[in-house]
Amino acid sequence: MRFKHIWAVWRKELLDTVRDRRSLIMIIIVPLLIMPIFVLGPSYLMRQQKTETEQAVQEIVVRNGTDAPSLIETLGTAKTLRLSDRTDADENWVQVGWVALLVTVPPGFEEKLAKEEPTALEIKFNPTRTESRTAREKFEAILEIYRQQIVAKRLEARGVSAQLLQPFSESYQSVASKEQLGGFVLSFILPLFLVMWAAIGGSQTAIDVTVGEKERKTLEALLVTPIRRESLVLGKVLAIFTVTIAAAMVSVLGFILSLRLGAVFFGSGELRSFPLASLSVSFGPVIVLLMLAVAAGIAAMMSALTFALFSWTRSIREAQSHTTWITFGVMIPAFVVQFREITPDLGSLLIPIFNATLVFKELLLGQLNWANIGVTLSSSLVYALVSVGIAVRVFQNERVLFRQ
Amino acid sequence: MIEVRNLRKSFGKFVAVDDLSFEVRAGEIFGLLGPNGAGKTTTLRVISTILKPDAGSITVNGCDALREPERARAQLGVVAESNGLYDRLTALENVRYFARLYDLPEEKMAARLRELSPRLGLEEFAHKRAGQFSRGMKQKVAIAIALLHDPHVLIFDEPTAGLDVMTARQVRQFIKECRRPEKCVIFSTHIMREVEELCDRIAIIHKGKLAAMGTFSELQQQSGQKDLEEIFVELVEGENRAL
Repeated sequence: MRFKHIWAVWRKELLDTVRDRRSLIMIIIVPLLIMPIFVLGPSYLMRQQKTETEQAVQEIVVRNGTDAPSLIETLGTAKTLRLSDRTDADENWVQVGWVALLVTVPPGFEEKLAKEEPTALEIKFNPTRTESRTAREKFEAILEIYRQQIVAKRLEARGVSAQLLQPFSESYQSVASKEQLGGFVLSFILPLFLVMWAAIGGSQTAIDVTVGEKERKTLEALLVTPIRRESLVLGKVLAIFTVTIAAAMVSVLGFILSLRLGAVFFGSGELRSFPLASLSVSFGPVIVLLMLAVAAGIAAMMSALTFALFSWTRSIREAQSHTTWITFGVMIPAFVVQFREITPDLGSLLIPIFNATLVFKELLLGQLNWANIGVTLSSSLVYALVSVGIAVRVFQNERVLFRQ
Repeated sequence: MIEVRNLRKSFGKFVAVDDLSFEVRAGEIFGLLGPNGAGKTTTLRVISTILKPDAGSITVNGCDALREPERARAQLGVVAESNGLYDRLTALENVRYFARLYDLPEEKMAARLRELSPRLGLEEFAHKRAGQFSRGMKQKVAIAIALLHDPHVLIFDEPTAGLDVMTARQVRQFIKECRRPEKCVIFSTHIMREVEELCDRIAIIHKGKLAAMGTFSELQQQSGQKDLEEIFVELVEGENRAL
């Protein structure tokens, strides 16, 4: 194995990658431009729709409203609920969305309330329609006011203070700093992206330097040179690794850009409460370096594994289809960590990808658990070395190289 | 310079090369002639140590190719049918990459290029990307790469396939110029006229086996035919009848 040869292969593959439009799109354009859309887009749209619906006026029908004049009066104070005078409305109107709610007042409703007899309102709504769900929330708020008015009257009639129902008040104060809160929110999102890019960020290069060489028939010319197969594999795997790390870093940059864009565009007004807009995030250099080291562990292992796998494939198209399931395979452990509170133990820290996601999450929460980091980094190193060994073995197999 | 003894190579049940033996001497151009699928490319790939034989031995300029494949490859310059150029690199970048893999220092590479470029007409497109090249231009760069390290053994596998008449003629002329007392050339083709024009000795391979070997006049004497094509047809049909 000669360093000069490894260096030559590495340089050539990187030059080739830089000049490949598809690879550049994958490494730079996708994470840098798509990331803000991907991160901000769905939340923004959901938030915008919610705001629009809250501000919009929903039409509701109250049947037999004459038996509940006080309720109707209270409803009149609601600015974003409008009482319809269509008395012929029925359940189907709610079903198709012509009205948001259908409230049926039982006969003698307020008389019964006055006598303190039990009674019930019947409210039809459609949970599949946003305006119906929103109207229900608004109506519930109106009912709460109405209910409190009745209770207050009853207590007053008995000469009892309304304070009786509220013996004390409470106030909650967060002990987490803005940075910690930012890290907590990021720990839900960032590990998934980091793991994904660290795993498949270099897949286009991996395809290009393996099955791409076979398809373009450039491999044979390379194999007749005196370079040892180990050097050839190492040079190529290092090139994939470099591209992967670059893609992962650009994806983080894209992510930060998304947050900054979020702060600029949604930092004021109605959308100020947008979840990512006011995130305050600051990590020390140690955390950043450790995250990079963990990402490098995944990148090294996945670079060698994708190299071995794509060397085995018959065509670029076949390799691209493998990329799809690799992406899903990587996302599953990341999702598990994202949505479940998992306390890392030795077993979980030995599972590749899973361990990295766990450590990413800890680091983003500002927890420096050196034992967990150590086990993850060491196991990643072992997996990376084993993967490189597999890659070399695969590339030494002539049946793989000349597989048609 | 090249000694192939009892070479056998199979892919599963298919025997591509069967007990093939020949030697190529210094100073000669040796032609491997055979129909498509005869085993010519497999033989050359085994000599180039890309494929491992099932049996037999190969010596390249005194070096055991099976025991020391890297050393053997350093003695070889191979021009395959597929030129092996990277489309996104310029001609010069392609040359420089392979020069590094052959451990050729930059100055030596430059000196060698100064020597080869006028002969192959590389100057005009040295800084253009290979993706823009015609097949002929690519083949010329591939030849330059194969000759960069001044190898003792040159292997040309169907080097004129798909080339226009003028470029094919230039390539043949170049191969002729490669004939040197301290070097040898193996030339594989199925074009009879090229073999007649270039080769000192010829081995005719059919279905992985050596059907005949000798100079053109020796083959004429053996078969009683005057034309190489007639000799070839008679040998191949004779083998087919025997099978």
